[in-house]
Amino acid sequence: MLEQELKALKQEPNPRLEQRLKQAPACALLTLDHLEHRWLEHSQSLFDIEQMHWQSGEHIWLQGANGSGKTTLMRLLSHLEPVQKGSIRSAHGRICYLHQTPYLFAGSVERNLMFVIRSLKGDERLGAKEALDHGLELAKLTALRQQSAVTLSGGERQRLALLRAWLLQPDLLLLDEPAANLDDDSIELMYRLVTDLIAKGCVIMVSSHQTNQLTDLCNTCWTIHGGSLTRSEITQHQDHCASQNNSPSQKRDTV
Amino acid sequence: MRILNTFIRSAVLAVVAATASVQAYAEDLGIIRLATTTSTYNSGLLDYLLPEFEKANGATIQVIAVGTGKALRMGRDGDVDVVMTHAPQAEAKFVSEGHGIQPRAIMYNDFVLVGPKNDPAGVKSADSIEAALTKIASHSALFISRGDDSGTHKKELGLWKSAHTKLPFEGYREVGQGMGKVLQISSELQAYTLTDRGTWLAYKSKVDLAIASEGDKRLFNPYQVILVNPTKYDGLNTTGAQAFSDWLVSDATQKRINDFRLHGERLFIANAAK
Amino acid sequence: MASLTETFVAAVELLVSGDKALWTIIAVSFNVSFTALILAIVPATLIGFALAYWRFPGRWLLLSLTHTLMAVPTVVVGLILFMLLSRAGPLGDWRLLFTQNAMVVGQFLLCLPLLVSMTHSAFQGADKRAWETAKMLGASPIRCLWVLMIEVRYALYSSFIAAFARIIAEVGCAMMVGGNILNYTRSITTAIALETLKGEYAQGVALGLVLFLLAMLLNVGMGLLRGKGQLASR
Repeated sequence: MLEQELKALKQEPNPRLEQRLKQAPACALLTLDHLEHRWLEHSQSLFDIEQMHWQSGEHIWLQGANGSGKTTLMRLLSHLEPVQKGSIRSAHGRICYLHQTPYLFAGSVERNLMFVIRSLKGDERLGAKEALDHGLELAKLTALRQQSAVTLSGGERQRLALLRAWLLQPDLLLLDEPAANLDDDSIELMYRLVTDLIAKGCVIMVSSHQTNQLTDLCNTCWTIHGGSLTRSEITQHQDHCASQNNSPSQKRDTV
Repeated sequence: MRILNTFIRSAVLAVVAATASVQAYAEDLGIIRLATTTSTYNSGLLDYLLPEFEKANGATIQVIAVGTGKALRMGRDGDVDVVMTHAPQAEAKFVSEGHGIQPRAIMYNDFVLVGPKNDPAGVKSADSIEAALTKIASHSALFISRGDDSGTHKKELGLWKSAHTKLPFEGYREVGQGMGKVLQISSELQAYTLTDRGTWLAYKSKVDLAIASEGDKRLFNPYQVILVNPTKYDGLNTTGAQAFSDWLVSDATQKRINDFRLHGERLFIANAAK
Repeated sequence: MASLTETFVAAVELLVSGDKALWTIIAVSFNVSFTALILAIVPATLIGFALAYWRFPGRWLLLSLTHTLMAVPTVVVGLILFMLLSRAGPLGDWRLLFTQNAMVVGQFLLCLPLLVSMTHSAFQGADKRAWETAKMLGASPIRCLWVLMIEVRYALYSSFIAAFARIIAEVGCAMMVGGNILNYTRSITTAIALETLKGEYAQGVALGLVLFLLAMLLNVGMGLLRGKGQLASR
């Protein structure tokens, strides 16, 4: 039944169905099915995932050793890498992947943000325009608004990249090592932007080696180990996050 | 010591031998550099004439086939020993300015006016070349000019002048290329052009054109041989050039020129002064 | 030696005096080469991009073909085009031979392989994240391509300049399909060939000077762009 609904949804967006899917706790945003990936045609596979669901309301901390394929998996999920074998089915929504070292367009900070606004349409575009000032405040980039993006520091670049995604309001946000090499202040600002997105109904996936404020937001853990992917719940973190400052997310979790 | 001696002696011997051979060579006429027009060269006349001279005199004639303008320029710069061209006025200037000496008439051939087979300007009915050219201009028909300062180009300009036509008129195009190429272009654009008969015979079968006017005395094209003035430059082979000039006007060579045939047609009429 | 300096002085005089015939020739050259370049840039850039970003059957063949075509002498292109456009040829009815349009077509064909090859390597060397970021931020494919082109703009400029230099300095094809007709299809290079033939060196040298100055200008421009490119990437 759900499969059929999903199929119908893919062909024609249906707000009623979409609403149902969002609310249904057992419904998968993304389904990985027999996903295999290898660098060269006959080399050993990087990973071989039989089946995995990303359920709505799940914020995922993606873990794994260096070179285990975390980045590749995230790129596959966001359709930046072609699927070689198996399938990734996505239910709905906009997926946004953030590179570990972000790419900024030539020109000012504002121009980078206007790029997003210009790719939106209709109400979304108007909304993003109105949200621009607030977003700059949130990311503490207001003072740098007219500055050339190439002159920004590492932390500022990361924040600008996240702010672009924030303007886009994705349904799934994939953050590749967002906190690497960032100071606590920048992480705090990133955290503010991400929680704001979550409050608006976005789910996130964070890959990281260390725990930080962003991984603390996660309630589920995916671990790549030896080419396979395992899922586990992070109960203590979930409690921790929920009690602290993530009421919308919590609400959705408990529906 | 002894080895060194032998070495020096043999080296000296070698040098002497070499000098001797150069001298032996110099007793012949050596290398003669001739600048001439493409029309004489391309018609095959030189290939027909020159081997006999080279054989009889132990000479080598290096033929540089260019337009008349360039040929005279090369004579002026002392790059060649002798020139053979067909542009009377330019040649007269060349001699009067002291770049060349001893101009001699050798032969003449003639030009023909060719054009599209359907003759859009009605040139064929004209009784003189001037009348023919006037018709082309008044019909604004396409006319391709060599435009390269060659003897043919100069001839053409002279003819336009005597036809009292102001250049350029509507259909007049200067292309600045060799005669063969100009015939090709004329055929492609279906235009009239003035060509020497030699090139015309060689290209007749390859182009979609026909003779529109021929036989007028003004279309005659006299060739002269001129020695480059030896007082202007050192190292010119004037002896060789003189011998070549003498040979060209000799009775035997003049007869051979008259006997030359291209595609079964006589091209050049010898006219050296007796 | 005196005649060399004289020629040179006469050439400079011709240039600065605004000799009409001379500047007409220069105008023909620029007109033809610019038109050919502008026409070639769009398809060449798209092909170069496609070769760099998609693996499709025949991609390798197309790449080697491009490299081969780059080495084809201009006269050969001229000859083939001549045979096609000749009255007796298959495209003879177009009546293109010995017109500026024919020269444009010839130079278009000459610079296309060079442009494809150079834009291809430009895109290959591009930061892939530029395209991906634009895509992730919801941009249309055309905007994504635009972002990528801005990312590699210096390399693209270089390829345009190199292509322009190749076609404006080209003589074989221009002579063959243009016909060197005064005021119509006589370009800088065909005029030099002719003036030399005529023994009129001054005009030839003057035109040579124009080409030389142009080459210098383009090279200096390219050097400046490269320098800028390095700064930007740092």
